[in-house]
This record gives sequence, structure tokens and C-alpha cells, in this order.
Amino acid sequence: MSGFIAFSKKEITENTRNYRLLIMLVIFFIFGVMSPLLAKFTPQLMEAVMPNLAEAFENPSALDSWTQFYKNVSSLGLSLTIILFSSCLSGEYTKGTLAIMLTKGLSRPTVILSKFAAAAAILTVSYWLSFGVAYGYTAYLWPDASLPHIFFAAFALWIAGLLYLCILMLGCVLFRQSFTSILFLLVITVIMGLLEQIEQTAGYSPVILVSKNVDLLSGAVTVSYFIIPLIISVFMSAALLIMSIVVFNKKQL
Amino acid sequence: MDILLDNLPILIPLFAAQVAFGLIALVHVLKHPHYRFGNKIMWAFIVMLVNMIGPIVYFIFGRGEEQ
Repeated sequence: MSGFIAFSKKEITENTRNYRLLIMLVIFFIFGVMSPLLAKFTPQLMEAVMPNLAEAFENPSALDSWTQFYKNVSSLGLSLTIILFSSCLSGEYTKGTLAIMLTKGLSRPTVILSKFAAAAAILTVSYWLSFGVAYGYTAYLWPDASLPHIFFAAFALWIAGLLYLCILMLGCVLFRQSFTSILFLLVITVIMGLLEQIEQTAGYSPVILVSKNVDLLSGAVTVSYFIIPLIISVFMSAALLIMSIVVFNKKQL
Repeated sequence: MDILLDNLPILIPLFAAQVAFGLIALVHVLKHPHYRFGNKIMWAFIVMLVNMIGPIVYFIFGRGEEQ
């Protein structure tokens, strides 16, 4: 346990030094501020640029603000997280820094768990910062809007973000290059997306957690629709982490 | 322009974050003269002129290893 805490601290320090923490905080903060503002001011912007199209964007609501938020965070935000953390093990392979620490008695599961814990902590802080800022701005710009399940929708996306990190960890353990681990993640994501399209497996895929958040706010789907994907996500994350540890235990460095 | 001025207080955090991010990247570019590719002038322009994406690209792809 002390090894885990020490190595996790080292991971956090490293992520601060190589600017991952800074990039994550700044970008997620900007998304949090930008989404409500974009929703609010798109009509005015459209009027200035394309007056004939402006009518389609009139009367933005708090729902538009959250639509922007989930669009930005689930596509750009998560992609950036993946790109940033895809090099978390490949750098260590090429520099050979892990071999030294492993011979000095650091256990292999600790490496994986600490790497994941550091990445998850950074994602969690940045994501909820972003959500908090977006929440504040939306409440300020649309004072009398009341939408259902705002926190639950955000919670679902957060769980999905952690799942993506777990998939990425397995990718990083399986492949030496960071590019290949991103590719691995993409393949898994596409498979999860396809499973959602097939009638027999629709309603189970974790893809729901990143794509249906706005429907939850607008009332198009209910909370119960999210429960099974949520449970599957959590179990899948745990399974992926265990698989990463097993593979990493057998891996030659 | 009126929209900008009327809503300046709520826009300031956004501008401040973007400018601060650009400046942090600029300081890093000027202090660390090793890049994976490109040179100092090129990176200085990219981080200052390409909003948000410039600094990200610099920190992820352009930044050289610390010696």
C-alpha cells in the first residue's frame, strides 16, 4: 500500500511536470465556460454572419447549453484526455525507466493501478470543474430553467470517461506505441457503438452513457435506461484493469 | 461588438484562461530551446496566435525532452 501511495504521488508530480494536469484543467475549464456562452450567443452571432439562417437558432434554452457541454466534453474533451494519457506507459518503455524501479522492488500491479489512479484523479477533477462552471453559468444565464437529472447525466459521462481510461490502460499494456493503444481504444469504441445498433444488444452498451445525456435532461429517456449501461461500465472497467495487471505481469520490459 | 461589451463580466474568465494558457506556453517555448521539430520563432507564433489548440499542440507534440 505504501508503494502504491508513493508511486501515485510520483505519477501526479510527473503529470504536473509534463503539463498534462495544466492542459486538462485549462481545456475542461474553457469547455465549461464556453458551452453556455456559445448556446446563449449563437443567435446574435448568426444574425451578424448569416441573417437568413438566424431564425433557426432563436430562443436558446438551458437545454441548448447542456447540449453544447455534452457535445464538447464527450467528443473533444475525452479525445484530448485519451491522447494525453496514451503516452503514460509508452514513454516509460522507450526510456526504460520502469525496469529500474521494478528491480528495486516496486510491484507490477502497483505500476498499473497508480498510473490509472493518477489519470482518473486528473480526469475527475477537471471534469467536475468543467461541470461546476457550466452549471454556474447556465444557472446565471437561464435563472428560471429547471431540468431534471442534471447531476445524474454528468455522473454517467464521468463513469464512461473512467471506462475509456481503463480501455486505454489495457491498450497501453498490450502495445508499446501510444498510437496503437489509441487505435485499440477506437476499435473497442466502434464495437460498443455497433452493439448498440444491433437489436438484441441495444440498451446495454456503455455508449449510451456518452450519447444520451441530453435526452435524459430533455426527458426523452428515463434514469432507468441508464442503469444497465452504468453497471456494465463499472464491471467492464474493473475487468479491464484486472486484465491490464495480468498482461503487465507477464510482459517483458 | 455591443454583445461583447454588454456581457464583458461573464466573458472575462474565458479570455483570461485562454490568454494565461497561451502565456504559459510562450514562457515555456522561450525558456526551453529544444523542440521535437520546428524552431523557437515558429512555436512562439503558434502558441500565441492559434487559440487554445496552439498551446495544446506545443505541449503534446512540440515540447522537447527536459535535459
